[in-house]
Amino acid sequence: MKIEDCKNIKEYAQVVSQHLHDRNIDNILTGGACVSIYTNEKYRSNDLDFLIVGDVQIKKIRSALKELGFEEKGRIFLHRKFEISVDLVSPPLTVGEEHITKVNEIKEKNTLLKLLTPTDCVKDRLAAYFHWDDQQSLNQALLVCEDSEVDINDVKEWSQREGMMKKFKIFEDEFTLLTFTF
Amino acid sequence: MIEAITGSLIKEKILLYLILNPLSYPSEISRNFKFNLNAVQKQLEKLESGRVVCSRLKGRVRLYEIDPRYPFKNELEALLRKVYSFMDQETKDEYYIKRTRPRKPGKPL
Repeated sequence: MKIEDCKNIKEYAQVVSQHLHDRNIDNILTGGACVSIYTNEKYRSNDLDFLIVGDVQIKKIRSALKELGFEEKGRIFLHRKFEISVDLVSPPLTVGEEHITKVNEIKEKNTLLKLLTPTDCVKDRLAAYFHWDDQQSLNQALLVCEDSEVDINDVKEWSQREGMMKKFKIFEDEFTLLTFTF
Repeated sequence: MIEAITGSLIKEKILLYLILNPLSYPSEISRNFKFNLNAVQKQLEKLESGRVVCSRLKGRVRLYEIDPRYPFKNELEALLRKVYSFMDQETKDEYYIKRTRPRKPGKPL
């Protein structure tokens, strides 16, 4: 698959991720693009936030992204032709205080895409809701729950460790309404 | 005090200022310490790309705070608060303590 053939954020992520893997740059997709993928683009993001695993020289990453048509603008890489950007996220891979050790892998069309699991994706969105009352993030977390398999008990335990049970309750109530069937 | 760790005195003071005064803006920090604005903005950029601080726009002003999602936030805060505890009261009053209670417009200082 070439970047010119991509039709959605998932395909862009797959192409960029595989291109980096081909150059021995291990990477994990995080942030809003994971929400897009897990909600079949009910929420749309054009930003690909990649966490680079291990010590890789920025020069190497820059050159790999340039080969795909990305140009560095400040801290972000913007594509010359398509409305898509890449941001490099600093390690470690965490949600709040929790270190993420297990990621999801999507192997399709000769590409490997490592990304947050749906459960960690929900925690990632909820972290923004917990700390800044960001309703968009709460809605995104609920959208992921609606469309993907999320371990709500795990999210609950994490919320407890983060000291955010009051806000988790709001999320849980909305989640219950979402799954309630007549 | 911890410049050897932070690698820059400006960075050390910015971090301490943000721990004590969340949601501050670059020109406020530069004015407070009489640092060059560009130097402050550059350090904030570095800290933001390392996920240590985060920012958001309020009107036309970009406000910064220590990112509450930063995994080492508690440890960093403990270190910075210890640094603060070693400061004399005069330095604390001059550089780090900001009036936050309301004040009517036009009232003399």
